[in-house]
Amino acid sequence: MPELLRLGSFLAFLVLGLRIRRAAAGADRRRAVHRFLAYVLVLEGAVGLSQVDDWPFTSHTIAVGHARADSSVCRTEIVGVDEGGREWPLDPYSFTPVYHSILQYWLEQAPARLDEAQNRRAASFLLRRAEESRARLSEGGALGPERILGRAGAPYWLLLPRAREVPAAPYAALRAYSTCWTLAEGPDTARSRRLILEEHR
Amino acid sequence: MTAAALWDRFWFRPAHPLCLRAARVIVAAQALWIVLSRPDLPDLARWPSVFFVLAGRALPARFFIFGLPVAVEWGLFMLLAAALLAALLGLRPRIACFVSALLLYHFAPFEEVIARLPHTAFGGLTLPVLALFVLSFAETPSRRDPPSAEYRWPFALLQLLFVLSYFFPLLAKLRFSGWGWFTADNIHYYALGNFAITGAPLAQWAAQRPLVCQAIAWGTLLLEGAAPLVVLSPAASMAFIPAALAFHIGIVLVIGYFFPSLPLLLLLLDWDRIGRSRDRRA
Repeated sequence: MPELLRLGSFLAFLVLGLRIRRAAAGADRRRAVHRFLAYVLVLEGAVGLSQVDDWPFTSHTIAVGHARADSSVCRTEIVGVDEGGREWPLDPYSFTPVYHSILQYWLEQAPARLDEAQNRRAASFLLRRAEESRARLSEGGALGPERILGRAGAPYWLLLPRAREVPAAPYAALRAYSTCWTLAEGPDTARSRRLILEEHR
Repeated sequence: MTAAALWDRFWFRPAHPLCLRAARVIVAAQALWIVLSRPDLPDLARWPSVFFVLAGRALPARFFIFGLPVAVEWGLFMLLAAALLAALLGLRPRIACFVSALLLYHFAPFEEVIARLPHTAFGGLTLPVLALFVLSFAETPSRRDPPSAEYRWPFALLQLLFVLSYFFPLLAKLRFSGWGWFTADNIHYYALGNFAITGAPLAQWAAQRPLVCQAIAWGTLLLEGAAPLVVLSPAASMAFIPAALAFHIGIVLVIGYFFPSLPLLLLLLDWDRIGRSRDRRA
């Protein structure tokens, strides 16, 4: 239902906008513009004040929490594993078009909702994608925003460290770890490194 | 002056046609830059359905993501790039803007739909979607047209929507954290927390300096709080542009967040005055 309402709000925007085009010049057109402006302002204002997102009408909510010494920070790392068992950090664009932080969110929430066969299928697909990206990097190619525009490509908004160094041989497996710490402890003292994606071959 | 007169003065005072022509070029160029930076978007059609377990069916359907074959998505993506190029060059601008906007509405969520769009608003395509639709509804100005109210309301609307992307985060900070967000302590811990994730080059330097942290906090409050003034005063706008530029560069260096909508700051230039003074010179 909420998605239907959101779709309705977008379609109403289109209908009111198209009515401007169809209105005759003069008072009719001015009335159509008034209605369109009023609709956009009310919708955008409601979204901004309520912080209920209705993209492309949005509240632009980011970094709004109050960070304290006891605030918890969590990070999910995905690593490729070569035949010798060595772990290689994966570039955040390895699963392009899905960025690492989005996949991290998925890995933290989705596997519990899937059965074993579905999880295996997902992990196998991710391994294949990581391997395609490894091969591309290994041949001197580029990933994601740099593929067409080179260094002029627009990066994803969260600037995670790049990992362009890859093994020459294919990955044998993938692993994912989740680590959480408090800001007072710092990541070096993380005690909760936990395997969330078991080694998948 | 009555509220109705103020409303009319704000939205319908005559504006130079350059306002809309510049807006079209800026917005189309910005969208094309993002689209060419995301050349793998259509490839999401190859991802198995298990990855849509969080998204469900209704959310993707809202953006016309129906599991179309990957070849069709690639065709639409090429059409999007061509339509944006046409909008940028002013070829059939109204149709080009409408087609671009509709396809951007479809493709912009691809990057994050499997996680239910947590940050699609920051992908750099939010304003272009709305702006290209607005430009397709508005009159298309030609170079020699006189100033008109028809060129004012769409331009003012785009400027307003853009500055709200600064003002709404202020409201959100006040709602979720109160005035405590604007303290040196908060910025100190933001810098430390993000350093572990992004490795931002000046995170630790800033975190160790309470005065720097306090300046960042107050600077954020000032910039976001003053943003609405930009649509009322060209002078405020000219002060806002360099301040916002410095703000975004600072954010990259201290917490490692890039602002893909940065080129849209050009929308805040006084295009009306630029157009009129160009006419006088000619």
